[in-house]
Amino acid sequence: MDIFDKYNLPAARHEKVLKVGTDPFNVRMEELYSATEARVNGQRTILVGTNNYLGLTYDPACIEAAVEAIRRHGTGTTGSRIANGTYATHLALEQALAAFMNKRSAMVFPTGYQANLGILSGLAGSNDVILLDADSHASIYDGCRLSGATLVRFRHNDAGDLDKRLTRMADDGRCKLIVVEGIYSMLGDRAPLRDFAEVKRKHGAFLLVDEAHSLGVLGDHGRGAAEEQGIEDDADFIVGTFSKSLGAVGGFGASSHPKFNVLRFCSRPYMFTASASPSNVASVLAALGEIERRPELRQRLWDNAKALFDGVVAAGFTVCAPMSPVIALKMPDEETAIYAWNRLLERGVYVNLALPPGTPNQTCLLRASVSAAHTPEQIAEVCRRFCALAEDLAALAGVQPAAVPASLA
Amino acid sequence: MDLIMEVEDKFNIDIPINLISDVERIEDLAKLVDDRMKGR
Repeated sequence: MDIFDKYNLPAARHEKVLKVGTDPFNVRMEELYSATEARVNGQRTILVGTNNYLGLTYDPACIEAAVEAIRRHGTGTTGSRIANGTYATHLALEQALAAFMNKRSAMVFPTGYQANLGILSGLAGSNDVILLDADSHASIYDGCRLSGATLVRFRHNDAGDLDKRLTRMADDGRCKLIVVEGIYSMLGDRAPLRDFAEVKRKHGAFLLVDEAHSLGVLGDHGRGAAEEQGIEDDADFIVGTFSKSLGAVGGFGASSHPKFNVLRFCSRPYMFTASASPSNVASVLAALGEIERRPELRQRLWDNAKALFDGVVAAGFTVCAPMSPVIALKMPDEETAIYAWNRLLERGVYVNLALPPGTPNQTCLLRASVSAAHTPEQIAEVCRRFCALAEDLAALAGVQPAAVPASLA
Repeated sequence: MDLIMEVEDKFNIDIPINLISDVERIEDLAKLVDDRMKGR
């Protein structure tokens, strides 16, 4: 008996995927040309699966801030926040995040995954209940499990189901924490936060909104889904990441709860890891400034999202959610999804391939995400290549492809 | 996961996901449902 025997089934599935072409879970970006293009398999490739929503990874102000921070503060802190790892810049970033999010306090973590581990396991304990959306990200599930709380899932985006479950456990004396996301990472659909806020108020529960894919994307000021839907005062806790709109790596939790900062000496994922590197902190501070200074980035992002969404729908693909910067195309089965992903990559377009069990409802998906950095010409070219893919798939299935719009021919 | 939610709806109970890992056979699920209905 080998310790890795438990992985025999996923390993066998992975072997099957490798037989079709490039390993979708080990794609090498051989050289990055920009936020939207790279060399992959020796070919110039348009990147439509990066979560780099505002294209700030190549923003000159963010790059300069990071370079200057390395020169001044070195390559890393080599310490945790409770030891030698708190620099003035960490505190400056936390203050800037709190101010941006309209919250009293913010805590920075080295990764977004860790932010969920740290905030969720810090907030909830064995006497509490966490009610989480069934389609929650892996980091939310893992953070919830780490907390030791009783974990109850509710049907995705279903405030009625949440209400029913909270009613069943009313008067049991336990604190209830509801966890939802602003934009869901796989399908790009949005949570009905107003409905959830109403349920939260009715039952006296706490509400945490993970704005990983919605910060910088939604809201007049880019604060996310809670701002867009006018429920910021009901969002007791916000979790966000730096690895999408903010163009770096890291994460944060923010809250106006007067006792929030107790987590600084009670949250193990915060306490027992090295703090975020000075260059990351600096580039995120600069990126926050760019989001505030340049609202046109958000407009450009949504213009690109609409153009790609309309293009793939016109090509005959089934989209999984209303238009957003995350556009998930449903594939009929795993073999077709893997085949389609490889054909797109051969045509110089990189998207994400998402397969069960990591997808909602066991669906097979080609997941695209657009950036404000994409040019209209790039988006049009991507649409043309999706049309060509649609023809391939139609030929495979022995059916007529959808008529290609003249603008994309 | 969908099966568990259908069972929850049918019997008007919540089955915490902490308890699902112990369910390997249908009789385990039946016992779990019974326990949840009796409030244990």
